[in-house]
Amino acid sequence: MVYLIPEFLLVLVGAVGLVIAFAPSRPRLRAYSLVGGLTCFGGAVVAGYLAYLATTDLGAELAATAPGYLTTTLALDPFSRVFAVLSLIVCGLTFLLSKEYLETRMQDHQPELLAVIAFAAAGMSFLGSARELITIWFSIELLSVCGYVLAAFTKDDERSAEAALKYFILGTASSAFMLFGLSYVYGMTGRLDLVGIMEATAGDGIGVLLPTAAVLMLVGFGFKVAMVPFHMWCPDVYEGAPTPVTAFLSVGPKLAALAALARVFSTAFPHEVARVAWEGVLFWGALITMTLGNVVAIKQSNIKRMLAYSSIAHAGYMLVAVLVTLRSDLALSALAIYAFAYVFMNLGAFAVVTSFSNRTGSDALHSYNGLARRSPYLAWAWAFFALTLVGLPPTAGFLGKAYIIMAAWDAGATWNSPMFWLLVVLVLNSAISLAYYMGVAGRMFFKPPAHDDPVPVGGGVGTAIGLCLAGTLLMVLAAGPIIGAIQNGAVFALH
Amino acid sequence: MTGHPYLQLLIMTVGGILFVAAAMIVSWLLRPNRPSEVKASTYECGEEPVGSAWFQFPAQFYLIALLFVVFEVEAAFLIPWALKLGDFLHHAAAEGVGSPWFVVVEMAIFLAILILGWVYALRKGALEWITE
Repeated sequence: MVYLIPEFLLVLVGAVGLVIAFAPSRPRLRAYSLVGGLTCFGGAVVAGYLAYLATTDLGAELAATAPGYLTTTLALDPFSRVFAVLSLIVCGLTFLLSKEYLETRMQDHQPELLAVIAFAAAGMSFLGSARELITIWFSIELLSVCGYVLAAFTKDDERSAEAALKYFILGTASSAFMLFGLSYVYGMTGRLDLVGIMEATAGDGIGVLLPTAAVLMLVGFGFKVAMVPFHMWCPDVYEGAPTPVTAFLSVGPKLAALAALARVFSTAFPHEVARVAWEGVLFWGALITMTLGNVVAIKQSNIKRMLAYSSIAHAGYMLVAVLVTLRSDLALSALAIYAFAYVFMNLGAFAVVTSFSNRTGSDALHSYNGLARRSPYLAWAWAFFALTLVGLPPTAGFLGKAYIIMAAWDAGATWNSPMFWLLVVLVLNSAISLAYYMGVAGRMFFKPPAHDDPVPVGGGVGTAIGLCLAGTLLMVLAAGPIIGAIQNGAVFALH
Repeated sequence: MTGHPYLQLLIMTVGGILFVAAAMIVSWLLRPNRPSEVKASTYECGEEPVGSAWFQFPAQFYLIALLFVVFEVEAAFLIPWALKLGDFLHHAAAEGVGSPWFVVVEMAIFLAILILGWVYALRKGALEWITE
């Protein structure tokens, strides 16, 4: 039970939010967002300790004595606890960066927005550790349903409603595909746990339906990850949803689905026929996703749409790590490190966008002209996040990409092999992304502003930007322990 | 049976489609065709239709339906729990493993979360019927 403290904390924070929402004398929103955020960061430390604990003898003993219903549904390994750390950090940062938006741009239902984010983060954390089809399905739906509600939060805004409807319809359709795939897997193997599925499909005679089922499941995960061709919803939803929600949606569902994807496919489908199918789909998926995301991002004139395409591209990079989970011991560590880097740099970039649009009400790229004069903090923060998102050393983004390339190399990317060319495309894509990230930075520093009014930065969102900056820099220190925990745990790799 | 294990499924699928198609074609060929206004009208349990079904329903219907789901989830988990509760308590007493309070507290937590959602809806006025 100790292992589930992160999830308990997230649900508790959400429940408190609901109580605040209907309490007769309304406690201040400020107090809730602050205490909730701090609880999340405190919980992240606890979850980090749990990730360490999972590698020790004491942790092994705890896992061995855990009740059966827990160990059959959730993997209590370091990888899952590393993702719990991530969920708590995402929740805490979103709490901080939403505060000013809620106070200035929303009339009612402010505590609910934070509460739903906490519930979604709990779903994210569960999805990172789910090892059984029903739990996976439950977690992914908890995350999705919260996501639909979040996208619709400014319900009087036409574009928010449109975004939510698009997200909902496409999301449920992809969920249906996934459920269909899950039912095939269960029908063929009679097992719900991933290890059991692996055992049941070990021999021959499973036939063509298993790869079909695997690919159907990939549709469901691909939608959450925004893998091409299931990325269509992404720009519209990101543009229409309230900006703090967009920040959360761009990291939460994506990372949790990637973690689950890595776990499900490497645990349940390591055998030849199904493996060839999903590795093939993921190879082309990763390649097209990163290229399309980066190329289309260049042409955008709205910063939220631009970041949407950029997040599609980042999903493509991370899919490379998922692709090599069965071939390289380093793949899961690479995925986790990139995920951490992505949380800090992407939430940081969205925090800048939130802060700017809170004061100016605009998301158009041209309104960022000359921001360096109007708000040096925001402009310099953007410049730094842009460097990280491109993946230039010595930032966290570089670290993440370096580990992904190392993992792919480890998986056997020899000269002229398909994997080698995938890596070439990845590096070329990083160069392409330089154009649009730095394009915005160029606007901020070298174009004249329309007027010289300063853009003040709110306390909460300013703190979030600061924490993200610190996070991207301190990743260099955290990478070692993360790799150590995931490699030593090895629970998941052995299955 | 020999052949592919899914061969029967394929035969069943194709056979089903063919049967339905054949039945519809045959009845289309044989039946007389005399349409009238009464025959084309909507049949709803013998009630006279008063207008088109394509109009906007008050969203409150959906709210009530959603609140009903809360109770449904509650019942879906309470019934198996209640059926197994006796077994568990006997087992815990006989074997001396686990506290008998464990399952009760666990269900209390589950109910508390569901009831929180319900109280939230009540306090937000989800059950107050707003008429124009």
